[in-house]
Amino acid sequence: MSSTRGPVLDGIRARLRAYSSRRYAFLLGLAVLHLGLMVAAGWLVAGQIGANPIRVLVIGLLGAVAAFVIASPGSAGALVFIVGCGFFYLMLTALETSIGADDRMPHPFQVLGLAAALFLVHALDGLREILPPNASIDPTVLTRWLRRVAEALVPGLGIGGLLVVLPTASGGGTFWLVGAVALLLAVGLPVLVLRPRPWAGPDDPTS
Amino acid sequence: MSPRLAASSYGSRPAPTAVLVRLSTVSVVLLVAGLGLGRPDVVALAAPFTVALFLAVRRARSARVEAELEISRAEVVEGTALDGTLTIRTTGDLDAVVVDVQVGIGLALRDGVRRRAIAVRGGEEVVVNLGIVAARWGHSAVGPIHVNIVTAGLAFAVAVPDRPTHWLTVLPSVERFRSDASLPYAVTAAGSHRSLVRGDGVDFAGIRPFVFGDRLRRVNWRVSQRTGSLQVVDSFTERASEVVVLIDSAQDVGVSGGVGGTASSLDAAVRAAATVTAHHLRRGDAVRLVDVGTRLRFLRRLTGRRDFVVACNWLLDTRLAEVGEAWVPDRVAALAPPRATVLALTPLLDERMTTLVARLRQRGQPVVVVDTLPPDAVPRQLDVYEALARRMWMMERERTVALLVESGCPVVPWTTTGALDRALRELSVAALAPRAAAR
Repeated sequence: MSSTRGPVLDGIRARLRAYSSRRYAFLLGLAVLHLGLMVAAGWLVAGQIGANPIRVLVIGLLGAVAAFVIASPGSAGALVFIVGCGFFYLMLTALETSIGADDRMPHPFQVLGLAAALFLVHALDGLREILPPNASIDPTVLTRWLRRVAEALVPGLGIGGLLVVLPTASGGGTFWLVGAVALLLAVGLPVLVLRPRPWAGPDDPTS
Repeated sequence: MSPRLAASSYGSRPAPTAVLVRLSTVSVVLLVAGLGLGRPDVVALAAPFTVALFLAVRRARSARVEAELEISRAEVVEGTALDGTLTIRTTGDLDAVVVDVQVGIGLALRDGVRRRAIAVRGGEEVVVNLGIVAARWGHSAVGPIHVNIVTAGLAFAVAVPDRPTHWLTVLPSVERFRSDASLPYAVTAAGSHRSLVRGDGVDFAGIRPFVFGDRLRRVNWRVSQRTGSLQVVDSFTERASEVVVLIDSAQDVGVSGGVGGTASSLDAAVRAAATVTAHHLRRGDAVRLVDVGTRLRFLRRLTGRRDFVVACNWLLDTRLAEVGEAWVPDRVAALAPPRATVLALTPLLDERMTTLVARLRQRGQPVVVVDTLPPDAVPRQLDVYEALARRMWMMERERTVALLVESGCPVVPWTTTGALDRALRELSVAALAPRAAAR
């Protein structure tokens, strides 16, 4: 005899039907892209994997954080990964220069590539966080996201490129001017946004 | 205008998200390190983040979002779509609006999509249809409905309060059923239903000799001239009958696939009861509904079209539940008036139901059994023993049906309403047949 719990099974079937393999393939593609960007960022930070144990350690640490970021988008993992990349980048380049093993100054394309990769890691993490796993996603969401990324990335890389390429950048006024303005914005804008506004009315539901 | 089941209007300015915190933290850390160490390459790493932060704050300051969620019609019929909309008005661009609609059993989402993400351009008003369809009769839950709006490069969010769960009434669908078959017994003196009682009426019943009291306008002069004696046209009277609908809800077998899909035995019974009730109330007959499930439940005598809503609402509570009083066949038989036609909607799996039908037939009550067992709801046969058990079960079932038919109770499957019409005709013909009277 068939089950007497027809409605219950029916509800489960309806929920299962809601899971589309195409939607999951899309989200999987996003995750793979995210991982690829983090691998690229790690590669650019560590240079090339050689016999140097410090580089292997850096790759290992970043890889562990990257796995966490892939597993849980929207967590603090992306922040840790980006800041970690910046820290290891500074540490490795300073270390190599100080011991004289490799008197290298990072190539401008390497710096800009790393900047782009880190920003895309951040942007993809935000996108993966808001998109639910089994949602029907309108294509305009993705085009809007791409446009927002491009609007920030292109001028950002342009300014970064100027800072790196200009021969007198580190000693000249451009570096300090751009750096000071950027720092002012980075500190001032969040303060401006997050400041308490007792004069503003509460945004409660109107009905 | 239909009453609104739920509506909420909400206006808000965007609030920062974790994305903004990340943009700000990364910018500050890299800039401090770059400036402190005099490293332009490190400042270059921070540049895209700082630009994104600046753009996000600039966009968010100009954005004001209004969201209005509305669900109308607290009552719908199976198979119809629920009017549920989310209206969004915004002054700035919204990068993503994620709508998550949760519905209970009995409701379905169009294309099975529970969550959807859309983008809204600034200055536009977008109306999102929630796409809820009433799939199965009953009381179903709509909600909670979550709406998540992010803007300014995902750095700001607009919090829209969740809509709590609301209960929706999904009435059973009524199939087209139009039967001209006369019911065996008329109960009340007037009505629109053709009875088998002869008298003043419209429907032709036959020609008979004139008796004292016949109206002159009923004399058929042509036949009278041919036969040499006065003959009058006899007709059936229009009267109202009474119908008792017995719903066997003790078992619900088969898969309930909603309207348009497969129907379980309880689905078939409820929809058949609604169809039959609608038909007879439209014809002016009185209808009594009795639920003989695990427990006994019955509704008052219904008359008139307005009572159809009462019947539908009562039918929604037909389920496998331990409510009402325990029943025995004699108790139920007492609920059926002596001259009422009984329609028993049953999958014929409960022996008590068979006993009840037999008891009613013994009283001389006209009974039609509507078999609601779905064709695919037969026992499975995996091995030789199960095959044997299935065969025995089917033989026993065929014997039960044969005994019921032999006792003058037609058994028709609820596949098409035409079968029920045929059964009602059989009953009326049987009622006309001469019978032996005890002296």
